[in-house]
This record gives sequence, structure tokens and C-alpha cells, in this order.
Amino acid sequence: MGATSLMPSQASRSEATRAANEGADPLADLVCALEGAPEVEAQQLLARALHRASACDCVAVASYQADYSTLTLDAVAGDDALWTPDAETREAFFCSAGLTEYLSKGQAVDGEKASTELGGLLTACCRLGADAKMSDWLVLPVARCGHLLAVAVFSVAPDETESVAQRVAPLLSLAALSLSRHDGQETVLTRRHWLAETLRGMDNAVVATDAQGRIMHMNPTAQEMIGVKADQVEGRLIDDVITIVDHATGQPLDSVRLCALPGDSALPPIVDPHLQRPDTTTSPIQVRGAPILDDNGMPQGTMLVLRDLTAQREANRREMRYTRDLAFLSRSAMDLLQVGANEDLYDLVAEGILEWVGSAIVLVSAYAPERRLLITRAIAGLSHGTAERAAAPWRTPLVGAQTTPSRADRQALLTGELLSVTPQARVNEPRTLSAHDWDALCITYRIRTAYLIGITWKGSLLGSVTLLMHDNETIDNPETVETFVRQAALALQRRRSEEAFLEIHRHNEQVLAAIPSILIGLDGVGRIYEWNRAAETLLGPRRDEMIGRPLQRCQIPWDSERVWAAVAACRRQGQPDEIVDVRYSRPDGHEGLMHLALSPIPRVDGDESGVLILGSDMTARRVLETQLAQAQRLESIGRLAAGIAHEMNTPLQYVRDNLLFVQEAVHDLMGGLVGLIQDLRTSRDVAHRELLDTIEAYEHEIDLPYLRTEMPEAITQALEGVTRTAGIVGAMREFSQPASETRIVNLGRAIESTVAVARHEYRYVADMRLDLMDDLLVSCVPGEINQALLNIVVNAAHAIAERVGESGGKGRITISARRAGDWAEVRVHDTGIGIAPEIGDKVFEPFFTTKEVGKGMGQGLAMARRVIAEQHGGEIGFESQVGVGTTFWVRLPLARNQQAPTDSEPASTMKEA
Amino acid sequence: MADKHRVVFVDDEPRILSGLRRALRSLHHDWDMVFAPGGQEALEALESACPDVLVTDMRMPVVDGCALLRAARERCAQTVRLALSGHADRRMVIDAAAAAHQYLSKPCDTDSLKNALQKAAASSQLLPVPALRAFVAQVPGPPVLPNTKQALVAVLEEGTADIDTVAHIVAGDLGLSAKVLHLVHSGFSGTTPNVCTPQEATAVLGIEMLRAMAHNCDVINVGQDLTTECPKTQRWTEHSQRIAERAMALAMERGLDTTHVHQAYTAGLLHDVGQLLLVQFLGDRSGAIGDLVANGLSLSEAERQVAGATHAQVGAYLLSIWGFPLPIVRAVTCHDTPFGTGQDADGILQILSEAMQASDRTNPDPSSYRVARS
Repeated sequence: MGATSLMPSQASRSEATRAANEGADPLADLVCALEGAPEVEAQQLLARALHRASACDCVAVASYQADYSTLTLDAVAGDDALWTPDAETREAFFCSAGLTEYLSKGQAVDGEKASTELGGLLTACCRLGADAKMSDWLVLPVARCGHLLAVAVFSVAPDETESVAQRVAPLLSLAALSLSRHDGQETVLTRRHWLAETLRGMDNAVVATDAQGRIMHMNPTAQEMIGVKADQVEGRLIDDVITIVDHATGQPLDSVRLCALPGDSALPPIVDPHLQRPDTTTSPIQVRGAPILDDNGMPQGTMLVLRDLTAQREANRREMRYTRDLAFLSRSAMDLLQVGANEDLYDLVAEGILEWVGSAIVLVSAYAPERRLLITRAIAGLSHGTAERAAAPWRTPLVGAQTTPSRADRQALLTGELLSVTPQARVNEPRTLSAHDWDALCITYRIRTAYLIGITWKGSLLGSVTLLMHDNETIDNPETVETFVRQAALALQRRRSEEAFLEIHRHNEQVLAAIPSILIGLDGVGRIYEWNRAAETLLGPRRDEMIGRPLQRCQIPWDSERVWAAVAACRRQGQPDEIVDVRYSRPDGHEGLMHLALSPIPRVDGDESGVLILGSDMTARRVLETQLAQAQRLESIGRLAAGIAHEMNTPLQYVRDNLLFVQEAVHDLMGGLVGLIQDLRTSRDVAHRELLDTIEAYEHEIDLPYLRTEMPEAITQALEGVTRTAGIVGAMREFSQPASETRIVNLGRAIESTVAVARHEYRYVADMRLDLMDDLLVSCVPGEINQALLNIVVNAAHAIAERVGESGGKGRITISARRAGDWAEVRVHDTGIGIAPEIGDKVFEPFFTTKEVGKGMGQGLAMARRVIAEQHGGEIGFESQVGVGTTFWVRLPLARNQQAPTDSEPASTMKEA
Repeated sequence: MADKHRVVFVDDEPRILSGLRRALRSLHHDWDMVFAPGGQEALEALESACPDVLVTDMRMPVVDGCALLRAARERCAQTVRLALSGHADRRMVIDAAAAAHQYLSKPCDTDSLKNALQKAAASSQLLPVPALRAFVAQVPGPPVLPNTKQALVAVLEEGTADIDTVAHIVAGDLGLSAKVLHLVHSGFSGTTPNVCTPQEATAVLGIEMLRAMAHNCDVINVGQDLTTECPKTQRWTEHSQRIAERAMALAMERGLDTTHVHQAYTAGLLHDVGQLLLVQFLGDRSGAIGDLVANGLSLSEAERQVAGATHAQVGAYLLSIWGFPLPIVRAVTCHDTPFGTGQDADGILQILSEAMQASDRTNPDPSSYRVARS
């Protein structure tokens, strides 16, 4: 341990105290002495002071000349006998570099060890020493700031080395200071002033004391912090003015000054020092301190720096809390926003708030605007321990409790601020429970304060959070709770939006799936992006096969050209369009008709717009429509025919009557006339002769023989015409029977009238041959069967027309009707083009047609099949050979009375008609 | 002049009348023909003298055919009433069926018309009792059992009535069977399909026609008096059906054509239809016939003594004014005087007789309508 170090030891203090008590402060004296003394005298004074302070027999002071590394003995004090310095012969002694460095650091060197190094000086001393009683020498450097200024050599008893060194250390420091002033250093006063000025502006409290602990200086901050005035306390002991307590223990420190001492203090470390003010208030502080040393390193006082940590602590706490809040909020935000669809968001909110607030009961309610109800959805903070639960005095389940907040309450909740209420006020939320339960809850959990905060989103109330605080607890971080609730609102809103969106999405999906209409979406370049279930069902290709493919290149079994043209037109014009009766074939092979509505989908970013195609299968409807139209047509034709028949029958009646009369009259007239003329010819009477000439001349003139043959024939033919006309009128009336009821008809007659009506259809392309059994009675709706037969006959005529074309040739239609078991079978044979085998039964499908577009809707045979197979329990079919002809056959059940012979009737003979 | 038959033609179209006059010129020797250009004029003609035959258009202004036919039925009961119309309107047909004996469709060829006139004029000779003639010509048909009418109405009230059920009811009543056959055979159904049984005839007419019939009180002659005779009447029906089927089978055995087979059946079915009319005509007096038969008189004789004519004559007269084919009328006329005729060119009478004999053998007591007042 170096002698120059300032040790807060009891010994040195007592030494100082002792010196002070002697009335003279050698140190102060020395300083004063040195202030004005010339160098050599100063050395002399120093030597003397050292001699006095050290109580050594002899003290020598040698100044060091750094330029030459030499020591010059300047002064000797004490026992002159030992060493009387000779002023004239003052010798310079070389001081080795190592020793210089050693001394410059202020290290003491004892003579024995340094004898070699100290060279001549020590040699001189030793010479002296030879005569002295003392056996040892102590060399102490006077150094400042690493510069060796001088050395002091003491003759000491071996056991006194240390005590001497201690005793003289302050003097040496002062000496060093004094000796160095000539180097242009500031004076102590200057430095003090500077220090004071500096300290004034510091925000730390700085208290400077002297070596005795008296307050020398106190900067304004310190005055403020401690709560005293500088002039009141200066000169007082610091320990009387400043009290520092250990916050942990509440114990005051013995000595404030010691706080300043660095390093291994003997005192236990103070964990949390607090400044206690005269008014007993405390503040956390940080204490630092430093001794004030003189140039010699001697302690001249203490500098204490007190820093009030209150603000910092607060800031720290705020910082920490902020960090924690931030972590909590971000975590909770993640939790809330990433909450799975099945997790209960309300639970999460309740638990999140509970986690944050700590001790409370948290109720989270959802607001149902349409019912104006707050419904408690989650609760957190109630003990779930069974014992406590069992003891819970309320019966209503807390979750699910409902209340209707008043308008004012809703308004209050809508502000979104945390409202503090007393439970007794029972604002809003408490009413989610019955009054009884609420009281029980408050009592059980010692609820004194309740907080209420609305969960709002853009001015609408989504729900509320109620915090029930135990005892007198309060929320110390309301902003965070508010922020959290805002997050909850966001999450709730998002959840609601998501649910609504999902609901809409699901709904849309269901709608898309459920609509019987085809929905095909095309993007701007004609690729399919939507292909719904109806499209799958009606058109065949599956959705995953179609999505993303260009429509134009897809094999869709419909009239692609027409559809594509419509799509192109729709896109080009940007106008909705419709195309009707688009033929298509369904996956089951049936032909159908479709109605397509095309709507352009305007695109923002591209010049080509997409197209939405909505298609409905119109087959069934068209069938119904045509059936209805057909029925209406039949009915109106029937009415018309009846009217026409009546109108024609009346003139036919009298035309025929008159013709018959004329026929008879002509017959009578001619017969009588010719007979009379003959008589006249045979007459011999001359007068008759003359008359006969006249008659014969007239006879010749009118060509009587011609009239005689032609007139009856003319009348006969006229009568034939009337008969045929009457037949056609009758057939027409019979054919178009308006009655829709089932009756027994004679099939042969029905065929005859049908053929009569259809005559115009076939007569130019075919001859008709009938081979009809007369007594085929079938029970049927005559109008419909007639129509069905007509359709078959017309179809046969068309088939022949297609074959004979423009050639002018004629084909043949043969219709036969006969019994086949219990059936009446009609065969309509034509010599037409025939039906290709691959077409097969498609001929009976509605809207199947081989005719050109517009020539017919392909309804004829479909209608025939419907009437015969579905409505009359019959059968219909055909046999065909392409290029040769087709035979359509129809079987209808015979009327019951004609069916299989009964026991009493041998029917075999009856067939022979 | 007194020998001449008298016919009144009625039409609002004068050319029809003049056409008829010209076409029927050949009849003017035997017929006194009156042409009335409207219903009113016809009524006046009826006032002056009842014609043998009335031929009227149906649709006419002021007094239409129906009204005229009904007036004729009241005023000139013995006049045979024919409708001649170009209409097939169901309601009009049913109205006509209530008051006309036959329905001729325009255009009607002259031969058919002449034939109808001749047959109608000759009918009176089949039944020499004017009162009976008047009665038969006035009623719309043989009496029908009230039960049958009720059953028919009940079935037709149901919306879902099916033709088989209706036909079954019809066939179960001889009077109604006769009426249905009348409508089919006498031109009321428009077409004349080749049918013979009452079931077929019903099916040919169709449900709607039957419904219209059931709802028109004039079309069906409900025999209120027959209630007490009900079991017997049903036995007549069954008896008639047996004979009809037997006759039909016989006709087929002989290889007759369909027309004659049907005629045989019809003759068999309707041969006793006169009994129904006689019972209704005589009312309480019909019991006397039974008494006489019980005393050993033949049925024909008994009928003649009580009513002045036999049921065969009554039935034949009815079928004749209805325009049924001559062979049927002839067979019905003579069926109770077996082998009394040599005119049976068609053999229908022969067949009928054989069928009746066969029936007599299997069922020795042929059912009869006569109720002995014991």
C-alpha cells in the first residue's frame, strides 16, 4: 500500500484531528509559507515543515532537474550535526532513469534498497549516516502529475518508516502543488471558482465538503433537491444536513460522505439509497462521490454528487410498462386476429384483459343491435374452483345473461372510453345479471369498483367489457385496456365481417350450385373461370376440366358457332344479349333446347371484357309450351272446323238437293222430249213435218245428242264433287273433335278422316293406299290420336318428299290397320329416305329434327309418342332402311269389349269382317 | 188426299227448303209437303194439322228447333220428329235427343231422307192404337229405374268418373241401354261407329255426353212406377241380355257379317222393350195382363185384351220411329208370333226366335213384366 494513497483510516483521521487540535495546522502554514517563498527558501521551509511533521532527526530536500536527471540537495533540517549542507558545495547527484520513474510515481524508496540508485546523494547521506545513530533512510518523492519535482530524504528508525511516510504525505502533496505553480498552473482559488461555476449549471446535486465534512459548497440543484438554502447549511457538517436511507431497510447511513468513497467500502452496499428530506419525503437517488485532493493527492474534502432518480425511475417504469404493453398488445393483437374460426373470440378478449389487468372479473358481452340486447358471451377471473363455484350464490349462468341497455347507456358505451362506475350504480352491464345475482357477485368477490368499456367499431356498438375490481383496486393502465378493447373491436368486427363474408360466400356457392341455370364465366380472353353444377349436369364436362380453358376450344355439345358468335357480339358491343332455343345434347344423349343470356363484365384494366353466360334448359318448358300451343290449336281448330262444317253443310245440302232435282228433271225432260220428237218423226202429218224441221234445226243447233250424254254426266260429276266435299267436311269435323274426353272410336274411321285431312300434305309426293280393318274400336281421346296419326302421316310425306325431291316422282304411303292380339296395330309405311340407324329412337325426342332450321321444331313424332305411349298405354316404333323406306307402327289397346274373347263369345268368327 | 202422308220441313234458310222441295219432288204423289221458313210458321202449320213427320233445323231465330220439337211433342204427339242439322254442338244434340226421334246431319242425301220419311210414315201401321202411339212417341224412351238414374248421377257427379263404371250402370238397365243405343244409332252421336252393346255405345258417347244426358230431365224417362217392379225389371234386363248374347252367337255361327251380328244382338236385347212401355202406359192396369196370363191366356192375347196391342208391337213402333234398321224392327214385331212370317230375308227374326227358344229351354219361365194381382 502506497504511502501517498489517501486511506479513509481511523488513524489518519485521528492524526488530522490531533494536528487540528494543536492549534496550528502545519499544512496551512506550509501552504502560506510556500506561497510567497523563493525556490530555495521554499525548499528550506519544506524541509523544516517535514522535519517537524515527521519528527525525524534529519530531513534533506533535493530538487530534481528533469533536464539532467540530477538531484541537487537544497536544504537540510534537523540535526545539523548529521548533515550540514554546504551551500557552495551543493552537489548534483545523478538520478537514474529507473529511479526517476519510480519516484515520479510517488513511490517511497528506502535507502537500503535505493542505495545503488541514489548514487552520490545517498552516498553523501550514508557518509552522514555513518556518524548518525539512525541506521536507515527514507526517500519520498515530491511529484505531481507524474513529474518528479524533488525528493525528501528522512533519517528514520527502521520501525518508523511507514508512520513517517503517512505523516508527511499531505505535506508532500502540498509541496508538489506549490513547487509546480511556477509551471503556470491555476491557483487553487481559481480552480475553486471555476468548479463552482461549473457545478452551478449541473442538474445533479453537488455538495462539496472540506476534509472535516463541513459543507463548503452546494449547487442550486442540490439546494432544491435537499430542500435547503446554501447559506443556511454551509459550514455545517454534511451528515447533519443530508440523510440518506437505505430504502430496503429504512436505515439511515452513518456518514453521507462515505457514500462517495469508491471501491471496497466496509459498509454493506446500499441497494436502493433514498434521500430523506427535512420534511421526511424521500426520493430515490444515486450517490457518487470523490475526494477532493490537493496537488499532493491529499484529501482536502469530498465532493458528493446526488442524482434524483425519481424521474428516471418513473421514466424507466414507463419505459418498461410501455415495452410490456407493446409486447402484450402486439401479442394479443396476433392472438385476436389469428384466432381460429372455432375459437371463442370473446373468451380470448376476456382472458386477454384479465391477463393484463391482473386481478378482476371480466365480463365480455356481445351487442345484438336488432334486439338491442347485450349478451354476456365470456367471463374470466371467476375462480373455477369447484368449491367456490358451488358456493357461488347465483344461479343464473353468467354467460348468456342478457340485458337491454337504455339509449343513454348505449350512447355512453359508444364513446369507447373506459367508464368507472360503482357497482351500485349498475350502469349497463350489471344488468346482464339479475339484481340478486349481481349483489351476490359483488359481495362474494368484494367488488367495489366496476369499469365499463364499449367495444365499438366506427360508431356502432359491438359489445362491451365490464371489469369488476376486487376491493379497492383500480386499473393503472387504462390506455392499454382501451387499446386492447379497440383491438378486440377490430377482431370482432373482422370476425363478423369474415363470418358475413363467409356466409355470403357460402350462400353464393350454394346459390351457384343450386340454381338450375347454367352459369359460365368467361374472362377477357375467353377462358372459362366459372362452370357451375348445372353446367356439369346439362352439358357434361366437369368443372375441373373446364376451368381455365378457352371456351372456343372446348368441345361443348351445343351449337358452338352460334354461342361463340353471341359471345363475341356481346363482348364487342358491351351489351347484354340473349339467344334462344340453342340446341344441345345432354350427357344422357337427349336433345334439348337452351336459352342463353349473355352479360358483359366490364373490366377495369383490360380492353376486352369478360362475359357471363347464364343458360336455362328450356326443353321441358318448350315441350309444355308446344303441347299447350298444340292443345290450344287443336281446340281452336275443332271449334273452327265445327263452324266451317256447319257453314258448308247448309249450302251442300241444297246444292245436292238441287243437283238431284236437276238430275231427275233432266232425265225426265230428256227422256220425254226425245220420245216426243221420235213420235213426231214417225208422224205423217205435214203440219208436224214443218214443226219437225224447226225442231231438228234447233236440235242440230244445240247439239242435242251431245247434251243428252253430257248433261247427266255433268250432273253426276257435280254430285260426286258434293259428296266428296261433304266427306271432307265430315272428316274435318271428325278429325278435329274438340272434346278432350276419352271415347271409343273406330280406328279405321279415324285413319280415314286423318288421311282426308292430310291429303294436301302428301298428294303431290305420294299415293295413299289404305288397308283398314273396319271394326277396330279403341278407347282414346279422339282429337289427340288423330293428331298423332296425322303427325306420322305428315312425317312419312316429308320423308318421301325429301327422297323424290324436285324430280316430280311419286312415292307411296301405305296405311294398314288390323288386330294383333289385344292390340289394334296401325302401320304407316313410306318409301322415303329412311332413318339412319345411329339416329335411332332420337326421332321421338322433342326438338330432334333432321329438317333444316326453321322448318319445324321436331315436335311431331315426339308428340305422337307422348300421346300414344304415355297417354294411351300404347306402343310406337319404327323399322327403317336408309334409302328404301320406313314403317312406323303404332299399337293401341283395343277397347275392353273387343279384347281377348270371353268365355261365351267365340271371337274368331267375329274377326272375319 | 186423305191417303197422303203429311210432312213439315222447317229451316230458316229458304234455299234449303227449295232444294228439298225440288229433290223430293218425286214424293209429291204420296206426300203432302209443307215447307215452313221458320219456327213460327211451322207452329202455325202444326196448328192446322198434325203431320206424320216433322223435319226441322235446330238453330233458327225466334223459335228454334228445340222449342219447335217440344211444341210438336205436346201438340202432335204422334208426329215422328226428325232433326236435320249441320251442327254437332253437344248441348244442342242433347236438347234434340230429348225431343227428337232421329237426328239427321246435313248434308243429308235425298235417299236417306226419303227412306227416313217412308219408315216414319209406315211406323204407325206397326201399332194400331193411337193412344199408345202417342204415348210411345212422347216419352224420350223406355222407362229407366229411378235407382239407375240415381246411380248414374252419383257416379257422374264425381270428377273422376270412368267410362267403364258408367257403362256398367247403363248396361244394368234395359231402358237406359235402349236410350243409349238410340242416341248412337239415330245420329245423335255424330259419328255412327260400328258398335252394338250398350257398354260400347256408352263409351262412344263419352262421359261428357252421359253427364249432359243425366242432367237433362227430358232425355231420360224415369219410370217412377217401376220402383215396385224393380226386381222383375232387373230380371227382364238379364233375360234380354242373355237372349241378345245368344242371338249374337247364333248370328256368328251362321257366318253373318258384322252388321247383321250387331242387328241380331240389338234385336235380342230390345225385343221385350215394349213391355216396359206397356207397364208404364197401363200403370195399375198392367196387373190385369198378368191375371189373364194366369188364367191361361197367351201373353200376346192378354196384352191385346188389356192394352189393345202387344208389347212386340209397342217395341217395334218405338224402334221404328227411332229409325232402327228394318230387320230389327221386323224381328221385334214378330218375335211373339213365331214362324208367322215369310219376310225374314235377313234371318234376324229366325235367330231371335231360336235364341228365345234356347233361353226358354234353359230357363223355362221366361221373365215377364206382368205382375199378377194376387
